[in-house]
Amino acid sequence: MNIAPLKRGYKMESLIIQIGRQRDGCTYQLHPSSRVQLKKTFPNARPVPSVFIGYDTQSDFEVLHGPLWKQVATMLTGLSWKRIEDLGGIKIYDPVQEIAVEQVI
Amino acid sequence: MSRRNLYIGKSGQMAVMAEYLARGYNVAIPEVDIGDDIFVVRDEIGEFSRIQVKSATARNRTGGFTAQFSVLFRQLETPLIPDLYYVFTARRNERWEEFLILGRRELYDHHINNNVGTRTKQSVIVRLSFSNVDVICQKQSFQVYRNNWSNWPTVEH
Repeated sequence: MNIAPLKRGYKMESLIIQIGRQRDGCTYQLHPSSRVQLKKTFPNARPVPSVFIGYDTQSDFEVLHGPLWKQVATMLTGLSWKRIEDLGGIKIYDPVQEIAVEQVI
Repeated sequence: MSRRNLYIGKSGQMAVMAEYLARGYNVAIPEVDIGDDIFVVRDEIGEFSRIQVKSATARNRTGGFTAQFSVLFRQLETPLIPDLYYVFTARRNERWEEFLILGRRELYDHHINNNVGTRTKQSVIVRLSFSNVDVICQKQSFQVYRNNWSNWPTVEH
């Protein structure tokens, strides 16, 4: 994949990843404005539309999933973590509980 | 919600269920209505779809009609697997005349990026304008979603 380097001084908002928790796992998707922002900035990136990761109980969510969030972000954006970090990292947002679960930079 | 709207809503839901059945899919209504209106199952492989039906009575206008629907914002912004589909249906001339089918993520994208729908405290109001050649929502064409049952091709039994 050929992704052009960021222009010097380029500033982009943190990418927002929205989650939907279910009994057996959690679905991750980029917020629509992050998706558009990403597409404009990296038209050659090949992101996947959503990622689902399972768990046995909901209480496992942060323990099991927390260490995977960087990988989730790389799949949802099609970018390396280094590149995502340069952009300002990610925010994980739970729309049902209306809370930012985590900011990863 | 008025009693009339309850009847119209249930009638629209049944019309959508009838369409899925005619296509060879099994359907079910959750016993407790807290989200999805219909579960659609392709029996042979157990593939499952979550459907939210939005029904409205059409209002005639020159060259077509309009219909207005309300979608819960929290539902719109929450990703799930399998993801939710909305089926908007409008009753006109004493029958369910139109079906507009689109995924939650697509509608959410339109709302955030194209200003489709008007946000209230808890909902997004979607006003669709139908003509013979197009379906318009706030200057965006939704024609591609009109009677678009392509995710549920007819199953032969």
